[in-house]
Amino acid sequence: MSRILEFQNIKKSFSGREVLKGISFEVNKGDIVFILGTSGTGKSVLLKNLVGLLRPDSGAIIWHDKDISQYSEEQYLEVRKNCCLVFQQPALFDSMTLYENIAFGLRRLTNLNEEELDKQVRDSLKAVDLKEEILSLKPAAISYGMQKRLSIARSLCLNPEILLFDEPTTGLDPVSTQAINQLIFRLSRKYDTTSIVVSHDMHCALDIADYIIVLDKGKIVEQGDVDKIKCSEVPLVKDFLQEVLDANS
Amino acid sequence: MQILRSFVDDLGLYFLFLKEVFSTFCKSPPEKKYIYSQVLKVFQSSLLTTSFSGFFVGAIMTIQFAMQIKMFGASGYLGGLSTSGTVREVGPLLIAFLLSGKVGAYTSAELGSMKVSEQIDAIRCLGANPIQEIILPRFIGIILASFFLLVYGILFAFYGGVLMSYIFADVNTLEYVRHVPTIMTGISLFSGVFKSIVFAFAIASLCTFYGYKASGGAKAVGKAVVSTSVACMFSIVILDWFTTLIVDVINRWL
Amino acid sequence: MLASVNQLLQIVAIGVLSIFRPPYRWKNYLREISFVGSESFLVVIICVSFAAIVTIIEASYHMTLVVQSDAMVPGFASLLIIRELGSVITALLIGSRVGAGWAAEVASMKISEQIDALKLLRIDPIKYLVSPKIVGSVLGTLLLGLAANIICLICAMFVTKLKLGYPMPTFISMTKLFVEVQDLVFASLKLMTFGFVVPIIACFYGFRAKSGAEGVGSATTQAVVSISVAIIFLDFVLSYVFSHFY
Repeated sequence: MSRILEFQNIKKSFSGREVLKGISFEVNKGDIVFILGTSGTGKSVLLKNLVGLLRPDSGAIIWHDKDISQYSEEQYLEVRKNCCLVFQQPALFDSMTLYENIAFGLRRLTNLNEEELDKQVRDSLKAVDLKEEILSLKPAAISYGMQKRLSIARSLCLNPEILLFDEPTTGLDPVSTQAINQLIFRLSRKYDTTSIVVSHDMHCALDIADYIIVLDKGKIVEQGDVDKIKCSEVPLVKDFLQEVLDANS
Repeated sequence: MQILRSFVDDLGLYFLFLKEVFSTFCKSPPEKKYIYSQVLKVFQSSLLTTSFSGFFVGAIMTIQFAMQIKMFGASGYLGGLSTSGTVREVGPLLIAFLLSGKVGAYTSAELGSMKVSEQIDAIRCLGANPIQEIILPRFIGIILASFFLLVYGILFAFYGGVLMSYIFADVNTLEYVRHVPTIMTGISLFSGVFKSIVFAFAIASLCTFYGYKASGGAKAVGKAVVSTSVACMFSIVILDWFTTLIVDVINRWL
Repeated sequence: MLASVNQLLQIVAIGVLSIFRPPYRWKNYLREISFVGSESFLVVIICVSFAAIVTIIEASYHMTLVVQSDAMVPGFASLLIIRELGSVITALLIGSRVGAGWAAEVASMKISEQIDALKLLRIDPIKYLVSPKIVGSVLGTLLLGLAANIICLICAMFVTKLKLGYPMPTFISMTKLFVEVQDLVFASLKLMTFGFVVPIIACFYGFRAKSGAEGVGSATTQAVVSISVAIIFLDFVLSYVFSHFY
């Protein structure tokens, strides 16, 4: 197992309020890492720091042995091509067809010709279990669950080495939630991508995660593989686990 | 004090935004077809409103001037005075007020909802520059479209004036039009066009700025719209004063 | 189309009638008046001051051109301010500041289902939301507009002194000569009409808002545009009607 990404003591505050108070962890290649925590603990902020939408106040993000946290906007293009963020909302472009939505990143970050691009778009659409008929539609014409899948396809088509999911199942019904989680698992294994999932769903974290990190109030309170989390003594983790037990019984 | 501080903050952010827009424009100007499609969109949505309001602005000015001129029995001057008054000042001012609602508020709502639904972030993540892809076509498109709409609205104000002088002041159309050139000089025309350009720039820059700045939920979009329309009107009035001064100076210098 | 007209009439009718029916929510009325005042006072004052400067410059330009003398400028400028600019600029500013604010507020309530919650509590949303806004807006616009007119005149007086060199007493006596009582009455009527349409249109679009972030944005946009168009149109109608009474 080789280390692909490392967060070193990341700190970030918004107008005086400290959201991340020194976060450090490592991500191994091919793992599915879940970052769990209650709402408002800075989980999404962490992901946005990685792709450069936000910059950390201090600390370093090491990707392929280089600190990317102080990269310029141009240098970040290389990072964004390889670390794709799937947003909490579908964030599809309303004015474009679904085809153009998926092709958007390919046109800008890669040098594919039209033929390869077309193949790439259709492949990634197939990978998220959507039919090709919908490609000519506008985002408003398909359901919310389909929009979510499409936004995954939009990131997937770039063949990133790390896929980042920001609360991928928020606002979905239990059936779609299950389907999206299975999709994340399948995609990670099939393309051998590393996935970092921000979520508050302990249930599916236990199902598919290789490594779990629990955040509380801007700090890591527990991290480890599934077995370690299951016998954790940290109160917040116990609450989360209790939730899962209640749901199962 | 709070108001003043937030005003200064906004002003600073506004100039930083302008700087970013200009430097992006110099580095990589947007494709022409995107600008055209924006111009077309603005035209389609605002042509009717502009002609309607332009027409009534002209009519209102004619009524006001007619009532004042009647005191002197100098109805002959009505055509020149009301046209000149509308073209130089009131026309651009009021029509720009309207456009700041129609174009400005619409664009900031559009950009604001793109921002809060994370579309702008998505654009950045997919390797594109939102300023170049989203802001610049709108910025330039709105400047062009608003300018032409303002000029077009002033034209309609002239029609409104002609019609109203016929109905209200018993000045027939020929008489009205005949006196236009005696009072409407080149400098008046220049004033109208100059103001239109300045107002168009103000509307375009402010609506893109406030839309791009929005953050938060659905409420933030509403807030962006309100800020845009107020800032537009406020700056239009101030710029109206400023441009009047400049035109005044030019007039004397000539 | 018919449904929209129906809804608009409903808002007007219930909104106005509810003002005179108990329970009287005095606190809400006061809150809305102070909302109108506090939101727009500063902006209105600054804007009309600048408008005054421009009016004087423009009037003197035209007067010199036509009658080769700017002696009449104070009289004409104050007539134009009172009959037209003072009220319209105030109303347009209130329309965009307060009207847009109200439209956004009602639209946010609509999409977060607060309006439905009101209905479940057996509170008529029109009475609860629209009536206080009508009272606040009519009174607020009237007071603010009159204040704006006065400040605009004072500002015009200073500008005439500085720019054209006419002393202040001359300005005042000229204004007295030109401006009649009915001008003030008509200006007040105009302001009250403008104040009346702002909350009606704002709430109309607010109630119709569709869900999502776009819903609030488009409701607010449509409200701002319709309010501005309505003010300009009503200004024309009122100017036309009033001109027959001079």
